[in-house]
Amino acid sequence: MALTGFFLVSFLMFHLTMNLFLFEGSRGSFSSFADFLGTFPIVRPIEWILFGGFLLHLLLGGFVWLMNRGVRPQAYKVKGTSKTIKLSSRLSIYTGTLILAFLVWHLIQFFIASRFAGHPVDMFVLVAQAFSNPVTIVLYEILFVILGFHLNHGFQALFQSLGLRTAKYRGFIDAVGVIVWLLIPLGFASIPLVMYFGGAR
Amino acid sequence: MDFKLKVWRQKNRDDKGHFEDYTAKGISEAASVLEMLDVVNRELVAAGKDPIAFDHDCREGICGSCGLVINGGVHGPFEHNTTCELRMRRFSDGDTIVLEPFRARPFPIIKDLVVDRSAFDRIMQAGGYVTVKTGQAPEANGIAVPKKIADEAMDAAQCVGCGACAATCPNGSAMLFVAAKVSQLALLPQGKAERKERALAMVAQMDKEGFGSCSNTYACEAKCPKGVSVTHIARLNREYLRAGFGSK
Amino acid sequence: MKLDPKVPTGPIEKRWSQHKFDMKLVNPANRRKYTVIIVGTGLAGSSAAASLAELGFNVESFSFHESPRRAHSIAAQGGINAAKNYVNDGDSVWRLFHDTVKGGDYRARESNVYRLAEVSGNIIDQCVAQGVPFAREYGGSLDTRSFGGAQLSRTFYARGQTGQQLLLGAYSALSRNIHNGGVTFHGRKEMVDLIVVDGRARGIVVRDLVTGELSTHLANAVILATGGYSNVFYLSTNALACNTSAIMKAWRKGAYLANPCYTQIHPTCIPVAGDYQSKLTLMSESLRNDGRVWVPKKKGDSRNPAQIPEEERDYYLERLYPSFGNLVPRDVASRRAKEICDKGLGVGKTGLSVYLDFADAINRNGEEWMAEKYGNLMDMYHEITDEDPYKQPMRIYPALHYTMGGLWVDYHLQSTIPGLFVAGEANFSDHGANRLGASALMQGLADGYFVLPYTVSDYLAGTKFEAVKADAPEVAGASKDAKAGIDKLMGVNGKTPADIFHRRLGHVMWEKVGMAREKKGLEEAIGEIKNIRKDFWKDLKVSGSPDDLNMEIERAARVADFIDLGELLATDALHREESCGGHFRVEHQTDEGETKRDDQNFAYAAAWQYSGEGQAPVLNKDELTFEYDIPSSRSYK
Repeated sequence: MALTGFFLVSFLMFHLTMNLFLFEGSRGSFSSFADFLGTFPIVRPIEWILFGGFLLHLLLGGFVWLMNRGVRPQAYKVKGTSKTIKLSSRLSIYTGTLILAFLVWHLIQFFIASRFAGHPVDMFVLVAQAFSNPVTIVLYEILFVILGFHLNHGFQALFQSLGLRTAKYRGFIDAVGVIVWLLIPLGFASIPLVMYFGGAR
Repeated sequence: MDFKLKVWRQKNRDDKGHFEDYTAKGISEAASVLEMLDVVNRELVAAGKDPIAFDHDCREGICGSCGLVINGGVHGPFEHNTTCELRMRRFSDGDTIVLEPFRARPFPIIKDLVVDRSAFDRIMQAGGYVTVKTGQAPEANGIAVPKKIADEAMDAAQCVGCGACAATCPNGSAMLFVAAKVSQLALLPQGKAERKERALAMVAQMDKEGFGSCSNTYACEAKCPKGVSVTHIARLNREYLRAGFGSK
Repeated sequence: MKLDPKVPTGPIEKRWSQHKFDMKLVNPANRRKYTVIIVGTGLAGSSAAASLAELGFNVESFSFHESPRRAHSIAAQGGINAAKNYVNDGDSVWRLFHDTVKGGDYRARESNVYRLAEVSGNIIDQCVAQGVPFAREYGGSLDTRSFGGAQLSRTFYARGQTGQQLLLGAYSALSRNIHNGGVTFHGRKEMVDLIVVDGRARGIVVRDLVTGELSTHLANAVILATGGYSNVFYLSTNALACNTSAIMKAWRKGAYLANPCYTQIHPTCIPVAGDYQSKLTLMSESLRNDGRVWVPKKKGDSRNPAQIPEEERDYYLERLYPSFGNLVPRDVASRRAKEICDKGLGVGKTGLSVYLDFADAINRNGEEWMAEKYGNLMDMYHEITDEDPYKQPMRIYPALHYTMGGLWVDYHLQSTIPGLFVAGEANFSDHGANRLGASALMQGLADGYFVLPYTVSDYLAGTKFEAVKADAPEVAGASKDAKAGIDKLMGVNGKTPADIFHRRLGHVMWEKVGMAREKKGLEEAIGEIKNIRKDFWKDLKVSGSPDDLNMEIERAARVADFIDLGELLATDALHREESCGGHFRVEHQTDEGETKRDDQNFAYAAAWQYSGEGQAPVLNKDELTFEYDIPSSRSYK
């Protein structure tokens, strides 16, 4: 979980960096970047690795979740034990599932629409079109909240699992964690809003 | 103070078990939860009924024998205490109090509120020690242990082995218990020689006993009577990785 | 009968090492043919089990707890003594020997005490090697602190949980040997009788506390490490399950019980607050390092302690004992607290407590320093009393804590029944009439790690064993007796739970056989105990089934033994017409209210022999001779 999580967080950072070029407007670096990624051959295997990473992460997550069911054959009558757990940790399997569902839609919307269109597509136009629909924007914004939640659990947990979050580094990792779970989703979330309200053309 | 009690009664391992209602009357607010049960039991015995069985001994929070789930909270709804340390003044007069045994697959119920926690002993037997025979020890001051290290080892060593971590963990994982011992002995120079074997053997035994795996919810840390920190779980993870991948 | 303590001769400092050489050994290849039963898994039991298993003997370990780690040694707080002299303050084996003999008011066996002091250093080495996280100095060396009855700093500690850490160390050694197959551990099994064949201890009968089933276990030797009997007083600092049943079973089978009247009342406990209480909680003696004991000079001064000015306070320990001050031995501190409260100067609602004030230490070093040293004790006190000890002084009062008396043993820790060894608090050996703080852990581990492995080997090597059959009359008889005992308890079918009798007994013991004993009171106490016994067997109610986990049967059986022990304790106290250590006879005190010994007539350990149900026990004397530490009046001024 931790290693794939780390990989996916790195990917998110890359994705965000790229997306921020959207602020340059049409004919900015974003489209060229997208063109490059869409056509450069070496990117293909990297794409598969990325898919693999996602798949492994969700398989492992599902596996852990499955294995841990039934470890308490009879539930407590009063549900009080979960009160002490951070909401994001308690819900990580569910936020993860929602993110997966979103991902399918997201890929259809952008990845499949551009790669399998049969002709070159200007990614900027595609994105701008998508974010001209308020419903899409609302759904995306909800997703980013969920993503933040997922990262809130996941980021520190990955250091915990790798054995790095010892007494000495606990504070530091949790502080860096704030940057990750708060700033990454915020960065993503700003894009549709800015585009819709006309910040980038 | 008066309380209404709902107590889990189960005749033996195979019985299905059920909740039964009792009342506890005239309880001193300075009495502990267990002392309240003493009062209820005295009445049950006098009436010729089977008293409520529960584990307890030192009644000062160190032996690790006691452990009830009180109103859904392991060792009660508050943080960092054992059941025997929980005083009735923390409740309000007339409250309904639900008492359940610790529940986790590797802790089968023996009777009423008494559970079998010998799984913890078997984990300890798998590797929770430094192999040193009586009479072999070198001079105690021969190896300096920096105060900081000794203190951190002591933080972990405080574990009383009550099982609250596994009873409260949504995954029924015993990681905090295992980590407390692995971390203590990995920190101290005396335990370093066997650190790899220890981490592997204890984790393997934990899995064999049927405890769940850790998903970093930190429920355990919040309810540990001694406040043993999950940073020790991080050290256990590190020890385990080191044992698996590191050089011999 | 004259008792033979089998003490070696020669210069005291050579006795143990010479004796170790003189004792017989068992060939390593033959060791696994011998089985040793060890009852109890506290410091003495766990350490003995681990050490004997390491030698290659076949060890069967029993506990009424589910896990060996639950034994009550776990609750010891303050520390463990050792003559390491790390702090260069003049400590030595001789000094620890002297302090212990004097602290015990010259009622301990010199050779045993010297051996204890001699191995004390090794214990620390052993524990450190096991990974016990003792407190350290910044430079990485071991830290020490001071305890009562000593003018130097020789107490090693792990915060306020030294007993826990030492027990977990011994438990880990035990666990390792369980893993290796050297020890078989039997949890939730309580010893209900001793099997004696041809005059030798050859096994035990145990009751499975979950199923109620009785079973017999045979061996070549039996070690009892079953702790003390403070719970005869009902309220004590002992855990609730601590009991004297194993000791009493052995007594009825012929082992002598020595000095039962030597009981230790610990001066710093949280005072009794009400009827509901099931036990008392100790505040470690180490607090007296940094706390000052005082009461207001004026009777009934109910002002907030902080408002009472310095000159209106009586720091009575510092006043009476200028050189030891707040660190006088336990018996002295306890007696003085009682005396002050009897005069009506006590504080708190009940008037039965004195202040233990940390204001000076906190002003000097800050709250954080205090928290690091005593944090768990401060929190425990706060939780129990709802008073914040950082803001106002603790209120403390003496409570039963430890019993120096126990089964009589010789230098080999062997009782009067050959093959029955007794270790730790269960024996009477090393502390005389009063135990010094931080010496119980030392003795438990000394017995288990460094004495029994030699003396048990010697016994096994020197004895020719006949095989005992499982259906031998002695074995079947013990099993039948045990069954009959349980049926008898179930059969009374009266109205009163065992707990009520226990409380009645405790009340008599505390009032009349407690801190100050008097002929008249003791005679009354014996009469009252006889009445309690009569009522017990007439009106006891045990509910539930005997074939089940039944806490009431366990309790009732233990209370029955406490009643018998209580009577023996009072009898011993009545016979000992002197005051010494924890045994204070009002008739025998100096003008200043200190203990007054009678070395002429009472320099012996009183070993009581069972002589049948309802018969007066027979007194045997184990004469004490003092060659190295000549008895003097014990002064801590």
